[in-house]
Amino acid sequence: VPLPNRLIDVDARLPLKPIVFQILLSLADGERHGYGITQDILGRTAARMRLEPGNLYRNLRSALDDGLIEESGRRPARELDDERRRYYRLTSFGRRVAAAETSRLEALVAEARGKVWWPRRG
Amino acid sequence: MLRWYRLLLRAFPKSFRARFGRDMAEVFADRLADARHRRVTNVARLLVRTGLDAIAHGLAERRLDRRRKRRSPMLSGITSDVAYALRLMKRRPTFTGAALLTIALGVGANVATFSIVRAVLLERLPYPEPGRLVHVSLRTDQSPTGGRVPRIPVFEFLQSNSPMLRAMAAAVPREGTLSGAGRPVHLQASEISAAMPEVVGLPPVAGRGFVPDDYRAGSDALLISDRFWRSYFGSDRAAIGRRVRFDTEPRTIVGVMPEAFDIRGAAERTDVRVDVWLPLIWLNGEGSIGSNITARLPEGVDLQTATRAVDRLMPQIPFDSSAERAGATGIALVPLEERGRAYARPGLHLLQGVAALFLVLACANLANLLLVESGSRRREIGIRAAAGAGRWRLVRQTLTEAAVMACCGGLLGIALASAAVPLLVDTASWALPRADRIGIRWIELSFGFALALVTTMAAAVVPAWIGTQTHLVASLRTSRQVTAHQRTRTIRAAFVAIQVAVSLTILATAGVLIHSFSRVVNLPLGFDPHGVVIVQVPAGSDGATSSAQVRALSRLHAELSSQFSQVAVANSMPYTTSNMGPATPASPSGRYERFGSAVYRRVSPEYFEALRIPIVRGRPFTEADRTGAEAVVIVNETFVREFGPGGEIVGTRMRLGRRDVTVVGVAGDTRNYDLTAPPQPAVHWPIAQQPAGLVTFAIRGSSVGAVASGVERVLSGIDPDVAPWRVDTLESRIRYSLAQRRFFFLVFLMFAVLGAALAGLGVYAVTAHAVQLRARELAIRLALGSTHHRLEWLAVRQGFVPVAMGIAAGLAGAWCAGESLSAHPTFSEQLYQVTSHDTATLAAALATTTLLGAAACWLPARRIAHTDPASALRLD
Repeated sequence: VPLPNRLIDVDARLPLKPIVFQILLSLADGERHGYGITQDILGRTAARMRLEPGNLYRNLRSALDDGLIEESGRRPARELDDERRRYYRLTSFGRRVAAAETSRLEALVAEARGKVWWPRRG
Repeated sequence: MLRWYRLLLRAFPKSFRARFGRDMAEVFADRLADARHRRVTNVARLLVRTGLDAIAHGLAERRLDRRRKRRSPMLSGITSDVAYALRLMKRRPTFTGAALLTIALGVGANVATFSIVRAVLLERLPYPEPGRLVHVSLRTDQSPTGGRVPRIPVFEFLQSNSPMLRAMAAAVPREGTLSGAGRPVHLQASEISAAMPEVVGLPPVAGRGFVPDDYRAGSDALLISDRFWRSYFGSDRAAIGRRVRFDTEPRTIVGVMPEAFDIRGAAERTDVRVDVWLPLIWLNGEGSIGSNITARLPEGVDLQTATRAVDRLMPQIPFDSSAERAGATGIALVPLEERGRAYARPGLHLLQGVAALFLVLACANLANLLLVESGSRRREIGIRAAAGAGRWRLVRQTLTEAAVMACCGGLLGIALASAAVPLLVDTASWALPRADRIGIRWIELSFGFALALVTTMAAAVVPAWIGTQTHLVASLRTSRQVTAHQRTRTIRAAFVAIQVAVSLTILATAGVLIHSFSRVVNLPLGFDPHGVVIVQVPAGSDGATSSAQVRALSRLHAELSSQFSQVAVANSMPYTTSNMGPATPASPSGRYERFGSAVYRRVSPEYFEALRIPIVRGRPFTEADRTGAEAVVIVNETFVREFGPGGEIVGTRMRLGRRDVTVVGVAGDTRNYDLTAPPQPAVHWPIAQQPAGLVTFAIRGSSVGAVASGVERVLSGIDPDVAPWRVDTLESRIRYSLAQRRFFFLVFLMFAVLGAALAGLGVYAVTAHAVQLRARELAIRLALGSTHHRLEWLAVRQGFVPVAMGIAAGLAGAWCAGESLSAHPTFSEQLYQVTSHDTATLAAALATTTLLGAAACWLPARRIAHTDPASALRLD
């Protein structure tokens, strides 16, 4: 029996795989189905991160297993809805993990900014 | 496409599929719809991407699954080999792309061909025990395999006296208009004799079939096809028992039959679809019998026994005249399944042969690619061997890579085939029996995969063996400048030679067909079909036109003439119908000079102008040529040649049939149904002097849409029993008549172009690799004072040696192919004024191959000769 999420340390989930982080970002604004997630990621990464279905659903599977996201029982308005599709949404645990990953990345970027990355000419 | 993806999803473990499979397929469908909006290349890219993604992630997921369950190490070794192979493929996109494309083209061409062969030659007809069905005709001296249609008394005698032919039925095709149940429709119909249900052996879909009572005079039963029931009545059961009119006769729909009830459509032609069946009733042996007589042999009787038994009846058959008896030698029973296949078989075998050759070409190309590739992996193999991998382990790794490649390439090939097959069927449906059965099914899928595996393995064995020969120290010490072993080089050269030879053979064979096709389409038609719209009025039941149609015709003529400048009326035109009549011209004295027949056309004065048929001598018809005036005709040039009096024909009087006429003009010859058939003699009569029931309108300078709406306007005001008339362009009729030639032309053109491209790529890859290996040597030569030109020449010279050998072998191959094909009926049928050893075509194929080979050698040579020698020397 897996432990309930509140007993799991958020930090144990870090760092997140970039794809998983992108998925969490996509779901931050609301529920989406699989195709919606790929389209959203495609748009936000200027078509650099193109998720094929196999890749997408394996990562969705692991995010589901880790309790970061869950299947949503609720459906959008009937005329927008497509009965066949499953929708996903963030869990509150997933929200906390995403926030922790954000601050981890922030710290990393701040540290990196202080360095000189190219040898000076001359 | 979606089916293809679902198949791919089997790479994932079952539990995963159960959970996400449907959603994944949905995502794929969305992406596909997306890609289709844009371009074809997008679809191809999507297929490759999603294909590789599904396999890679599916296997990874399986591995994860297995790690949880703990499985045997041997299997895990293979999965890691597979995973490694996939990673390698991803890392070398150019090589992977070239190899996958090669496999896909080879497999795709063969799967497409196989799907046609399966449907046409291998699949059984959809009847119970189809082997018992035979086509019945009379053998004669002229046609020893049968073909003459027995007349009705003979048919009835055979049916009642031979136990073999008790279940024997005739089917007579006809057309007609069904009305009284909504909008009138023009349909293909068939009149069938009483034993047909027993012969076919299929139960009705709904209602009942014909019973003996339906064959009494006054019966009004009518059957419709399942397809028509669905499309017209929406499968409504209330349609059964409904009163309708067929060609104005009242009828009752009594039942719905499966489509296969039409034997001719199921066994031979798929372009004519019968939707209505009527009882075929003969009164005192009078009527039409058609040419499709089918019998079901009694159970357990084979063809020879049946033929012998039937032939024994020959002396008693009540032939009408001694002439009819004289030619007849026996009864021909031809298995129905064989009848449809017989004329398609040679063409399909030819197609299969070319596809197989093409596969050989692809295989050689693939082997070459793999050899080149294994050469550049010597160092990796050396490290593996040094780390303790045995030869077998290394070979296994290489073969696993090939198998993975085969699966991906096979998938791509099947996708290609499923895209190409509908196009092929579209062009081929009139020429192939059972074309509607062609498609990609399970058997094609497994055939495609098996073929991909076998081909790739065959191509991979030699490279795997050579590539894993480890000269440990040598391969580890050096990386680039090691030139390939002499043996490897020889093998590579052999593969190049094979490719060039095969591609030249295909090119020469296809070239002959292409040459012939271009000759045929450039033959003069004798008229100008460009921009001519034709309206054909469907035939009525008794071959005459109902009064409603006559009214409609004259109104339509007036209407059209007011709208368009050139409207011609004729009872027959080139490429629509041609009625034959006697051409036994006699001088008025009554002395017959020659016997023969000619095409009879009744035409309006505008006819020659509208079709742009030149009047060579004399005058065209005018409005003055009407009833009461002198009877006149215009003949064509062939008529003059064959039946002319010798002197000037214009102005002479002659007797045609029972009429005395004056020839007032000579028109140019026209081709009437086939460009390659010689023009027939023709006689044109003024339609005003010889009123005709059935007519065709020809309108120049208008569009199909404008004419169709004009026709509809006129028809809407008249009798509801008149079905919409066919509006078409004359050009499309001509295109249709060329369809068979075009099909062969297109298929062979495709094979020729792809074959040449593959061979060119192969030569290029090998030369590029050879030159790359010698980069250092060439740089030294350059540094020592050689010129770019000399280096290029050196590389081309050496690269061209195997090409030249291939060309020599290819010439021999082309000659042999021409030799065996000239004996091939379908092939020689396709040739028009071109022999299968056409020198010009051979020269063109030779020049193309030589140029292509030279270019493929020269391009990499040029690139390497122009690199900076310093950088080439610094490479290691």
